[in-house]
Amino acid sequence: MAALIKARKALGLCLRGCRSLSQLAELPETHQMLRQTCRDYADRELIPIAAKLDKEHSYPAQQIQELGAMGVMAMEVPEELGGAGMDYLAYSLAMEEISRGCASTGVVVSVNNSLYIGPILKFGTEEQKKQWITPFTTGEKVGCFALSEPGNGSDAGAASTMAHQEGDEWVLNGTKAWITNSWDASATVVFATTDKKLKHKGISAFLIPMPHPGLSLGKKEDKLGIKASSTANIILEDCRIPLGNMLGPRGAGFKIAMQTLDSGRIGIAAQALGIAQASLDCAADYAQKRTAFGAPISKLQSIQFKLADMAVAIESSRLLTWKAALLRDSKKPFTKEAAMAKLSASEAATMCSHQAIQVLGGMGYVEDMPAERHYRDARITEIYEGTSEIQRLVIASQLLKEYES
Amino acid sequence: MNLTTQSAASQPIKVESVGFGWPLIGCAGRWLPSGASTGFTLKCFRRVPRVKVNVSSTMSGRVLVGVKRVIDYAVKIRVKPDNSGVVTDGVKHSMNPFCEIAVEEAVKLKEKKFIKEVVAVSCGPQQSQETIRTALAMGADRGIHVEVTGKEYENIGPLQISKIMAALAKKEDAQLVILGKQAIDDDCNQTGQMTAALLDWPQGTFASELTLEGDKIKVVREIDGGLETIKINMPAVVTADLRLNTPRYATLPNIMKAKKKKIANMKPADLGVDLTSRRRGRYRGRRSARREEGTVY
Repeated sequence: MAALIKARKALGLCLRGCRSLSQLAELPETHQMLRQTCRDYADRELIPIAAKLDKEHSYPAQQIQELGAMGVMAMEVPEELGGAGMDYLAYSLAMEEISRGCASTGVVVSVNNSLYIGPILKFGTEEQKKQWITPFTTGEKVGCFALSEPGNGSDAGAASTMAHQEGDEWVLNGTKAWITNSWDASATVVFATTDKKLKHKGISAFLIPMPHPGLSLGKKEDKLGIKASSTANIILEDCRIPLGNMLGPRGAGFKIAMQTLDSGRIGIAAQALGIAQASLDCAADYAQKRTAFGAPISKLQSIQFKLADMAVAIESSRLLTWKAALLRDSKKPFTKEAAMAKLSASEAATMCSHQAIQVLGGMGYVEDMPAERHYRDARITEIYEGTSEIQRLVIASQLLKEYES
Repeated sequence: MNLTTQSAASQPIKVESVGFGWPLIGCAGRWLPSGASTGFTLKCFRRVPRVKVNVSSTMSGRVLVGVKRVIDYAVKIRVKPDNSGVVTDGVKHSMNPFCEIAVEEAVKLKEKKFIKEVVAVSCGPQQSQETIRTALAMGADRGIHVEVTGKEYENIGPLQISKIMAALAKKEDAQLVILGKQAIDDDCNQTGQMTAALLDWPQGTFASELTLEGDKIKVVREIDGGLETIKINMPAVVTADLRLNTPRYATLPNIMKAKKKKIANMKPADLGVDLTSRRRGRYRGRRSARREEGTVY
């Protein structure tokens, strides 16, 4: 009986989420306008330069500033702090459209919104919010999120970066790896162990401005994709910060990281959707123009099946992403849905970009067409902010909780 | 044409109103012979018969901006199978690019505190409200949607629109009407000129620069011969050309605020406008001629 009630509760939760999604036969007008604005921006400002940014590995500073002026760099931040005051559904729509234009710009926007501003907005004091969020809403400054280390990525609980108190300062020592935005950021959220004995309950979060004495950056990684965003190590050697720079209570670091990544997953799912959509657009457009065997190749079933599979993967991932965003906006538990969205969208992105190259044939392999760039950009979405394997673990653990008797 | 170049001896005559010669100037566009320089500025003041215009000494500070919902410029246009028109169902529509420039100019004037209120006007079916909302998101204060639907909408043209704009300009006591120079679907380039004629107001068409000086406007016009600067009294009609400004992207907070701004609904009959079309011919769509490869002269 208890099991039934629990199951019904779980189902009810799902249905409530579903009901609001089914009422969502069409997006609200503001969200449609927002989506259109971001799409226009991506079409006019990002698509023309995306290939160049990728080739030259150059950070899109001007575009980030323009996006900041539009309010896209701090979408969830309330207007009093300088943000756009919008919900997560709006954020995922904006992320998708921007990533459709340029995936690197998308990741810069995502890291700033979800990974840097996200935890400060949720766990920071009013003072911290004013100091660490408001200057980062305009696009002039971006932040980054330093959790991974050379020794642990998925194993986030084993942070070997140490922090100890010396008088009225925290002193941090250690190395963080794979930090997106590192070379362009003006601040970072760093996770360090304050009490090794407490294992993952002994990790705390800190805010460090960049540049800062004791904080240095490793060399920029030469990545396969998203080349316009910088990824490097952050090395902390006796990095001293005031006591007030601790984010949240002591020992809450792991919880902060996990909750932040939950929300970040929706942003990354949206980025993956953008890349997948760009691949589909590229493939479908090419298929209608390229003729072989006397007709455009879009008349061939094998091409049609590929395009259909791509469209289904994208649409289902999109609905999962929107559902996760809606659940988060209604303050309901969304961990499982966010993990599902990220898993589905990132696998859709790799599948779609792979098939897009296949549809384009030889043209898909050269830099003249964007298909090869989408293929390279898509790959990272299955790895960062929780690998696909971790997502499966998260989904399974949430799922099994629902079936517990 | 009533053009007189300024010479040392002659007195520049200020334009106060517009006579019937004006609409011809806009439509007369001659092709320049190749190699003609268009870079020099022609400073000239037009000699036009003075007509008394009722201009209130205290300007209302209200600008009317016309925005048209057209098929998006990036869409590939398809002609209907029966050649009666172009396919519009399910096709992406957006605000006419010249209307975007007009809205941007009006919002800029408001930001510089030259004017107090920007009213966006659109004539068309229900979907025209989206275009008005875009104008509101760019910074317009309120919108007016003049509802024209179905067969009526297919048959109206610049004459009917300019009648509506003229009626609204009088009703709203506008001090300035800014329109795009032309719409990208019909390329008529007539509405601004006709509106000015119906209102008996001065007009500054093809504006690439607009400055308000007291109760006058200085307009730099892009014409075939180059650039021409004129000074006209307000109230006036100005049509925006490409280089007037670069329209802004709507910011997210403005998109949210646009939701709360009011759009008034009305019918052309409420303004006393008769929409009967003066056109007799039927639209015959034709695909553009196939061009052969060869030398381009």
